[in-house]
Amino acid sequence: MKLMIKPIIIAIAICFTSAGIAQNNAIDKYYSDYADDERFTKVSISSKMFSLFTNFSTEDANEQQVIETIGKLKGLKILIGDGIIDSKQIYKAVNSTAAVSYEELMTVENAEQEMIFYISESGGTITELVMLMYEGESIMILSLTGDIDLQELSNLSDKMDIQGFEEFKNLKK
Amino acid sequence: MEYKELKIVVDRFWEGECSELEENQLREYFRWNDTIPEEFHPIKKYLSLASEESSGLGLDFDLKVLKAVEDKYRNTTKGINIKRMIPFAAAAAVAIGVFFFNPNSPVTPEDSIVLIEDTFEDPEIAFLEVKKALMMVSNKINKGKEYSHEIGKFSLATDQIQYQDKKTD
Repeated sequence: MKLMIKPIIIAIAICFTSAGIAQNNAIDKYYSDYADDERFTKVSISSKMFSLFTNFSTEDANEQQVIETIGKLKGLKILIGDGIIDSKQIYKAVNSTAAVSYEELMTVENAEQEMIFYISESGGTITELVMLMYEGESIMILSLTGDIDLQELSNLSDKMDIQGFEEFKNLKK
Repeated sequence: MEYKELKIVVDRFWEGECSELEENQLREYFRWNDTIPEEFHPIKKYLSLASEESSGLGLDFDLKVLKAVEDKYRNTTKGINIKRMIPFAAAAAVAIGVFFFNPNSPVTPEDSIVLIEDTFEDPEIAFLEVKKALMMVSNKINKGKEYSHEIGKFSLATDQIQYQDKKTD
């Protein structure tokens, strides 16, 4: 019986740790929920793919800055729904799930759209940025993981010349 | 062996002067002769006991020693003891089972599959998509910051108005 105490404690610890991990991946649940839904565009870039980006180089200083910023990242997942009648309900559901697992960074609400940023920190470093956005019949859930510097991210828009959200609506599904 | 001869050898035995050959002869003699004079009973008993002891310590003794050695090895060894690992392995299996196959668990094996999939196979296309995504996130962060800046300006203006009002009062 004494021999069994340690394994039982370990099993309980694993279950609790798993629950913690599961909470951090709360957004991932929606990826599987809408994996077969054709109204949604799914983008997933793994850490392996991100590691390939570090091989890229350019003589353009701005572009090099972008490559360096991207080189610190480890994963990107985007789920974009268009023509979703119940987009507001989905947004609220995801928002309530995210609010439990992440720390709220910023919320922007106006007549046309609602947008909220969540972050997950570890040792003073932002390790995950989650962005939720709802606009009419469109919804977007974005999760960015890695070593995230918000100031660098904010400065990127000055260094790149690509339009944002609209571009994603035209991605292949 | 005649009584006289036996008596001499027995006396020599008790005196400690008996040779190994003579001792063996005595042992064999008492072993095969049940009817012996009473005065030789003590030496017969002694030799029979001595024979039992010299024949070994018995199977029980060997097993006890082997078990003691094995226990000591178990306590001191740093290697992996499979028997000891079985409960740990079982506990880990239960934990993994609860985590992945519990219907209430937020993460299922299907989720894990989704996580490791890459949407793009070409790194260059993937890179462009990441750039687009970061650009969009950057724009939205800056938009949020603009709002907060405007709120800050509004708040400053309100404070100044209140300050002016107080001054005129």
